[in-house]
Amino acid sequence: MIPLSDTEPNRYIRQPYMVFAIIILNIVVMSYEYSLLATNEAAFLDFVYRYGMIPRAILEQRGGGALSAITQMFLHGGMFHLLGNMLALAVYGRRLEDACGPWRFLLFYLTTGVLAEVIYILAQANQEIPGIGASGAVFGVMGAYLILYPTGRIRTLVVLGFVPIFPKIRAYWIILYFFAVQIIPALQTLLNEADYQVAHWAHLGGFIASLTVFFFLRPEAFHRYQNEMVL
Amino acid sequence: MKMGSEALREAITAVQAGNRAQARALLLALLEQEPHNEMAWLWLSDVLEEPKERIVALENALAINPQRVQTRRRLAQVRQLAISADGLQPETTVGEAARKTRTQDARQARYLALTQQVKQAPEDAAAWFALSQIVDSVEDQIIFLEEAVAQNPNHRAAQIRLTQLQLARQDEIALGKAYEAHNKLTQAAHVYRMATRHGDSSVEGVIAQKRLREVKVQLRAQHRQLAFNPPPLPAANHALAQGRAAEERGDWAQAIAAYITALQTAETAQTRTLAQIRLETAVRQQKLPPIKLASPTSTLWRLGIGPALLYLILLTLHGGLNPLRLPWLLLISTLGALAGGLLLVAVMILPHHIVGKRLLGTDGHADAFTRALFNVLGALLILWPFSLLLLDAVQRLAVYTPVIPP
Repeated sequence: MIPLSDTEPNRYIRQPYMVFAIIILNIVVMSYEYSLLATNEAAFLDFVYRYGMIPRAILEQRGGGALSAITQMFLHGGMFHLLGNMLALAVYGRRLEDACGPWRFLLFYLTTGVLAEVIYILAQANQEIPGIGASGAVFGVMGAYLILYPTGRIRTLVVLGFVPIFPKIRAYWIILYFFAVQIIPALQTLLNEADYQVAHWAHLGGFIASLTVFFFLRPEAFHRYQNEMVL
Repeated sequence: MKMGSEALREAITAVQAGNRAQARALLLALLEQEPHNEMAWLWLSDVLEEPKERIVALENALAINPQRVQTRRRLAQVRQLAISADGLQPETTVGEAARKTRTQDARQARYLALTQQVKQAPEDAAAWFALSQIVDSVEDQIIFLEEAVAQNPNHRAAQIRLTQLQLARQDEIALGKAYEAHNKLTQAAHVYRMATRHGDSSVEGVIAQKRLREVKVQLRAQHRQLAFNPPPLPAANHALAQGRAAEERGDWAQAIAAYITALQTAETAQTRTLAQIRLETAVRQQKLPPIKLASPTSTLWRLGIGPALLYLILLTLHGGLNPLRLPWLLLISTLGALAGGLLLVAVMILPHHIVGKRLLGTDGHADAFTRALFNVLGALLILWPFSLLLLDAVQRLAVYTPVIPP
């Protein structure tokens, strides 16, 4: 199940320029990573270990600290990692930027990203492998979308056997599905120290951090939400 | 002895001052000396009371200058007036006179019926149109046709006839007087104003100026009257106003009751439709939950806290989940991010909040430079703590050697 686009219109802005900017920045950084990997693998690893977020290093106040908390959000481990995150950001970020405005959306994106990392660090304090990716922030965006537009219809690619279909599915089905699939691996990681190579706790942290969206909603959107009007 | 032109000027001044008797005496004295003074005859026709005398004066003026169309038209009007006022009949045979009398009686009855009809139903455009067809005076026709078009803007026949009459009409003073007779003082003033523009120095211009002054006095008196004693609202309109006031208070039950009263007492279809619409809206509104409004102060804090929140979380991560390990400057800088956020929100989003008013002036509208200054200051206050944190992070990163597993 791959969400492809949000079928609902914007209310306040014409284009989500901040979403575009974030996606472009992520692509640029990914290209730089690929160029490093192609020329010097050691330099690539050094780059990822410096600007990625290592929970143990954070707790011991080693490395970039606050800086790597931000930079890790723009690093990705591969093309599919980047594609998945950016697709979700494009689908769910558009209307969220609409409800917040570009600069407050950027603040929200960064806040959910770093708050997701705090939760990830609390859950996996001994992890020495750098956590990279926009997943925490993207899950934060998804969580905020669920709060603000639970009944929004998302054009989704669903493959039934070998037949692709493109139904419009209510946002709460898709987002709750993505939330549900994080729970068991996250519990396995916490209780049995299982290693999934995926920061499930950062994803859950993003969901929790999405509650901060109310600090970033433009007054008109907040008024509509408060009065149970369609945003 | 006065010269003719001097005596005429004096007579005109007397007319304008409203001293008709003096004007009449002066003009009669002048005409004894200058019986061929056309202007004197015209002015005399305006100050004489009796229609028959006015007809004589106008006939004399016309004999002196048969080319003056206005004199001819005025004469026709005065003759018409004399016929209706005194029963002065033109010379006819007995049979013609009897037939005309019957026709006039029928017209009179129809006229009375139609005037009664428009009094009871002023929105009846067809009645206004029919009325315009049975009156003789062009000016009356114009007024009735205007009413017909006002009540029904799609009344094609009325529109066409009105346009024709307006194009053909030349005697603006007569139209103005007709407007006055129908108590349409604003329209009368407009027509007199046009007449003064068209003929400043002519007799018509002077008459128009005089009439305009009188109409203005009446209009002022009317306005004063309305200001001190406004006419009572019809019951339905009063109920509608009460309903709106109740809506303002959010008292939907009261509003619905008022609109029902308005619906029951509505005299015109328009008021009934309006009451019906307001009633339906109020019933719908009553079913909705009450609107919740966020106070400006809560909005100020809600939006202003964002940058400080991000800074605090970054600070927590930077300090290894214990920000108290960090230098005091970084900690205290949180206040900068908070102040910057609040300042930007107050200036950009809530200029009418008390904070915005303090900063931008009592009306919340400062000049562009002041606003830009506060925006830059807010942005700097936000960027300053983040810059300090970034600087510290870069220093730490410079001495950091990552441990990369083989």
